[in-house]
Amino acid sequence: MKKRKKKVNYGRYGYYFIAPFFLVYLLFQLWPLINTFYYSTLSYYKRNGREFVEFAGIQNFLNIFGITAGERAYVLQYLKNTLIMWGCNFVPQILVSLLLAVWFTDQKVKMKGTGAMKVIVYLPSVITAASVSVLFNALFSQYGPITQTLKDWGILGSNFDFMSSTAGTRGLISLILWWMWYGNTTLLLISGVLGIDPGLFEAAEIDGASGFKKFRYITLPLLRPIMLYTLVTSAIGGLQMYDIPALFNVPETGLVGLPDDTTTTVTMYIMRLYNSDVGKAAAVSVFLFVVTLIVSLLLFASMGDRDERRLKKAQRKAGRKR
Amino acid sequence: MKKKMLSILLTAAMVTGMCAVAVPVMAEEETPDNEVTGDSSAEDAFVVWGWNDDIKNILDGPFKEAYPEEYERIVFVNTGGSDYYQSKLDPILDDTSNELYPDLMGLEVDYVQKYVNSDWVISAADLGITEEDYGNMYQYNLDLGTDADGNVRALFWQATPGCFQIRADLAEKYLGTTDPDELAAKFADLDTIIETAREVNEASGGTCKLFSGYDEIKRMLTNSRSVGFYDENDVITLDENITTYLETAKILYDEDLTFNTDQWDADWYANMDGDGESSSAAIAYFGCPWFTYWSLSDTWKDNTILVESPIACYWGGTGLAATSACSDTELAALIIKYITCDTEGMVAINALNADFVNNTEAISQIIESGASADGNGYLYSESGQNFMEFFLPLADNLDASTVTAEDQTILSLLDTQTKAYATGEKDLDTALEDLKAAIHDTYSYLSVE
Amino acid sequence: MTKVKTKDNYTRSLRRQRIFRTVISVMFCAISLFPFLLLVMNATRTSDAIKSGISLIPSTHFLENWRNLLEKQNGMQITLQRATLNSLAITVPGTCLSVYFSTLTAYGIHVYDFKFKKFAWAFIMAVMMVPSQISIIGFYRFMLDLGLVDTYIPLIIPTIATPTVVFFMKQYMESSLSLEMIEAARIDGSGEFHTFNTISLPIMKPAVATQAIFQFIAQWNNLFTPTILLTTDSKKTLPLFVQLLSSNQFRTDYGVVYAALFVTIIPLVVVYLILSRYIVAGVALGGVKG
Repeated sequence: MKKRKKKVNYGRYGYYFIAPFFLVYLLFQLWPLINTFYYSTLSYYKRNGREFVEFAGIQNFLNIFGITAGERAYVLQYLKNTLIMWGCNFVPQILVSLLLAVWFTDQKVKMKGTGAMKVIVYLPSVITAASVSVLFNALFSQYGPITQTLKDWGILGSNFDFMSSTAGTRGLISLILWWMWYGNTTLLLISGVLGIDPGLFEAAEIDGASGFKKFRYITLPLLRPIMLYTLVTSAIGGLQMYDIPALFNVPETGLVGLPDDTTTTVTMYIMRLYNSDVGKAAAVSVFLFVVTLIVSLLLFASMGDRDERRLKKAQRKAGRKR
Repeated sequence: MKKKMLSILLTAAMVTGMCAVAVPVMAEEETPDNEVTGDSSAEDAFVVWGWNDDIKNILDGPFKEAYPEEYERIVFVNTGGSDYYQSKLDPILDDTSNELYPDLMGLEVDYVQKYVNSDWVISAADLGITEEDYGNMYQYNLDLGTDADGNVRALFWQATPGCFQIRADLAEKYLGTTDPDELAAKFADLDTIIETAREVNEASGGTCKLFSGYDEIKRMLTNSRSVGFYDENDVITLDENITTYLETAKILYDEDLTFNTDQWDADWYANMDGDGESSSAAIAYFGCPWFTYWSLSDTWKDNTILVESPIACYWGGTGLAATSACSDTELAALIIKYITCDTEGMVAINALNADFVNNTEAISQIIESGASADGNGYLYSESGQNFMEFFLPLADNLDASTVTAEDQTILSLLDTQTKAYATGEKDLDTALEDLKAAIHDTYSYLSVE
Repeated sequence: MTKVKTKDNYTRSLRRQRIFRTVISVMFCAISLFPFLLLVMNATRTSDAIKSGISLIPSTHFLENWRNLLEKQNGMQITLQRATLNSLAITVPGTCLSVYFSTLTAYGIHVYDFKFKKFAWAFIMAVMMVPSQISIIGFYRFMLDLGLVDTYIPLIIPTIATPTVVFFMKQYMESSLSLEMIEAARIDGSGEFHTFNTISLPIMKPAVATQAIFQFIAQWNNLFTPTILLTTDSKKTLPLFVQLLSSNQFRTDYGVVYAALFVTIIPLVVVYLILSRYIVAGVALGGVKG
């Protein structure tokens, strides 16, 4: 009784402590978001440095989805580009990470040097994406050293140019994303595997389960929540993909993902328009918001209560490990 | 502990910073002055913007000599590259209190129309520059700097007739001649040019090509269009030349007649200096008077032959305009007059870099005196060509009436579609339709039909 | 006898497995390191040598490339050195603010009971997934109205509200911050803010360290927001400078590009290796994800 009273007294400090966060969030995140919705209802563009603004209702949305005559649904094409490049990186990413995570945590086949390996595979993800993009561009450009060497070895035709091939450029962007992030996913999955009760493996061994069976029937199902978590954070990050395609293969005059607009992402589109056509850029932002929301909701829908508890447990355990 | 953590962070930050800052010190010699040239905080600072040092060189040279006192007040801002120029310039033009707000700025042909039609610049008349002052200019340049209502707002100091520039040593080797007339015959029209490209490719076995990239023919076709990218009703229109460009580019690409580089790219530059045997090289570059002193490498000294472009066209040019919040219109007028109107000043500019100045009177004087005959030392002396006399007739019939405010971006969108068509990603009609759609997507006020 | 033999077989198969797995894993490590190796080598080679193909033998032209870079920078308002200092000027205060205020927020929710506690926590969880790119249009116009475009304020102040850091701080508190200790401090007459700063924060040091590193990395690498907000060249950050490297101004000399990339990347690698113990351990607690 006494204790409770005390807590009530101190309660107001809770408000003081969280006030800065909420003030800043409302001002710098929520208010801009509301504003973005508002701008999406305006026809708001610039011509010769002069602004032209008027209310346009849902016209911007009709335009970006190509419903109005004479308009093209670029935003859907750019979403497709984004998803292809993200998907081609994510599938190999999760496979390789799963493999390494199982190997690194295998108590029977104890590998040496996993500590150093973890440090090495994680390294690319801390490097400035902008620098990585420019570096890979330099290495793989028409006369770049890697392209040149691949040509010398006869792997590529003498006329091949990654930068004018859709598959080449998309493939390289996926490769960069994979290279940067598979180490991160490996570490996440390792913490997931370590969160699994070792007793389960011991019991399975007594029953004579093989290594693969243990993986198939214990590791994989119990890793489900953390894999879902990885999938969703990666998908949300992937939808906002900007740094790498925006610097990788674009002309100097603008954010057009070459070749032929096939590596332009949704956020590049927003950035292309943000100053010249505010209304359309805002409409594209709202679209991206909705897509992101759907992806997040899918997570909660597919993640049962049990999954959630397991994810939390795994995270907590990983936290304690340090 | 927070302190300790902070100290770790700060150390990390310091290490990064030190590496970046300390290395130049290790690299001996003095660290170059990387700031804006001049003191922008000075009370009477007069800020001039450009995307390269072309204007600055003139101010530092002839202008300084003529007006040493006024020169001291000039602060020059070089944004480094024309492609980024607009995105850097526009925000600051809306911010008149900014220390670096331009009083005077350089504007390239591909977007000068945007600025002369904006509220950002004042007219020549506002500056007290009269029709008489710019009476010796080439008409096409005056048109470029004139707004929709007929007010002249930007003035140009150079005329820029297009041509092809040919490397004599390689022409000798792979085309068998250094005679300007014989070479001109090999550039008589587009079909002949393609023929010539095949000839070079065969003769060299592919290590030397006529052009570095197929875009060497781009400016010749885009800058001689008879219709602009949109009409008076803001409906997008594509000139026949655009189709011709795409088709020709595809031939050059399909038959592997160029190295497929992009203009201004590292490999494009590299092909200027190759020997055509152990390293790749290109024989011809599309050019104009400024291209000679600005872009050609030393390999081309006493090694350049000029050939007329088969289609009369211009390439580039810089207009000077004073801004609406210009701090000293008198000085702005003085500079603009000296650089773009004053015969004496323009003869001095020519002496600096052999540029073909936008002043017929000055050109006559230069030719009479025999100055710049060797094009700043680039012309192949045995060809017997005279740099100024070569361009004299070409400058007379230029027409830039099709230029729009959006040309720079549209031409870049054209590059994307040209590449897609040339490499076989889509057919011609799709490429043209996609180009129109892309223009409309970028500029929603321009409509497709 | 047979039993021993089986065991022997078993160990041998284990050893074979171990060798196989080590080889594959080392291969992946090599893939992770290879681009860095090429970067270092190419930074020491001339433009022509670089174009001739891959070489893992260092050359001697690093200083020459570096001098060429300085020469290229000459006349530009933004240089590598300046961009680095600019990035520090944003990232150091940004990191401190985000970690301090996020810990404060998590602490407020964890320690105190108040009416909107549940709601506040649910809100933070919900917005954690909302990327800032989505509201950039509204953000930019708002900053334009406030006259804050082309200043560092919109890049620093919003870091006070970093939901992910709050989330992980709260997770950490649940496992390692005892309410009894806070109670004891109260009895000793310590004020609430004083308790937070002098008792609770020090207990949180491992989490603070980890999150500070991750925040530093995330803010240091940020390209998106500065692209829109910073218009004056001399204020630009390192990622924006890197963007310039891909422009034709620099592309004329590959040696220069590699030398500049070397200076933007290698210090980061070195710092990472020094702090890798903290970083790798902290990834599961919420690293940066792109």
